[in-house]
Amino acid sequence: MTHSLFRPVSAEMVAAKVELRDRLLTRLERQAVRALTLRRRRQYHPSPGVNLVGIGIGEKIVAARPTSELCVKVLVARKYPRGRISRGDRIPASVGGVPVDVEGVGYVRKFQPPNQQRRRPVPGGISGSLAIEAVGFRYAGTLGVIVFDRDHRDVVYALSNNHVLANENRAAVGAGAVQPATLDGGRPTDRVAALDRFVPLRYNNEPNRMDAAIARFDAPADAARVILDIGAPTGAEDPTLNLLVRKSGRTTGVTEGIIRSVQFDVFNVVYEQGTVRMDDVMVIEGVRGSFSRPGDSGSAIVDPQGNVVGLLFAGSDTVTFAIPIRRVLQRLRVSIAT
Amino acid sequence: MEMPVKAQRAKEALVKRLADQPGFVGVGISQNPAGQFEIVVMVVEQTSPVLAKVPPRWQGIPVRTQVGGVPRKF
Repeated sequence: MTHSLFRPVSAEMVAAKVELRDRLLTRLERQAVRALTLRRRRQYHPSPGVNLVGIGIGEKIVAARPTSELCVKVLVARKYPRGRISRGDRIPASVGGVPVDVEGVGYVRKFQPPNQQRRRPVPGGISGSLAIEAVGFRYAGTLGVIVFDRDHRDVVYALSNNHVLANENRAAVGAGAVQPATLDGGRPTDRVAALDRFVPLRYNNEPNRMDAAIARFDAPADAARVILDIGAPTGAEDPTLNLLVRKSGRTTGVTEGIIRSVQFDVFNVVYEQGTVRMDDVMVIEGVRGSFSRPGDSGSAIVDPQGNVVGLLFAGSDTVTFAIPIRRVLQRLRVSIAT
Repeated sequence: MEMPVKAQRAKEALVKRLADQPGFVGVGISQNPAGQFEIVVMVVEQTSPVLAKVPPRWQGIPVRTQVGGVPRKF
């Protein structure tokens, strides 16, 4: 009996799918650890316990051509020639008289926005954090822009905030930084840089001028002198009122905003270790919705000419706060890598 | 960043006046569509007690209030 694509799915078809699913599930449960190990290494194996991706009802495809015939559809990471699969590992050609079609689709991974993916070389605007062993918990921030040392031009750093790269003063110089951030799956093997220096934060509304830190790239070739989805920065400039700006950040990607206030002294900013006061910063409002959200800290604020004008560090439900960039570059003795 | 010294000094004086008030977020300088400089006072919410202490003008410069919510590190 054939099952036409143009007729309702029969109870017989559904029963066949459930029967095959339950048979394959026992294989999955037995080989769960092995499957995870191989998938992490991006290796394949014909055993259904490793290879199975999913099972459903769909159109049978033969030699890359649709047949208009319904079948039980089994998706596998890699489709092997029948002769290369041991008898015990073969998926049956039919179940209860219902045909079975096997299709290779690769391993399935959760979708990650571009700014949260692992990238080499590492651009600005990308997810980053300290390694798990340096802080003991997972979190995410943004490696905003690539900078170089004014005294040693071949030394290259990622610029971000103290609270992203120095764990609010608590990290030791030399602590490893990973890309992507640990919250986005960054592992010790994803290390790209080491905390080099930071400006200490003061709490309880003592005045601060910046929340900034730099991590030195282990290999300068691992740094890309661009900001993801914005392009190469052209330099550094002071912010001006009513300036249209953009940023590329770990959480919200590229957004547009307008600098609505400058020389703004902000009080009672909530940090882990207390409230922080930050003097003479800029206030940015989004053009379409929020300009930034948690995880965007460390993003570079860029003007229409490509100049970096600010370093994002905080925000609220309605506005974003950023530090004028020249102050940061001067204090850390670095320049924007163009 | 042309900024009248008068506005900067006025802002700093207003910070001292408001810094301890409940619901105070911060003070800065902005420019309205007509190009006039103004002082902007940000508060946590519409009912923040600090609003009662915000003058409409301060040292000859117009003052605008804005509700900003609770600021936090991002």
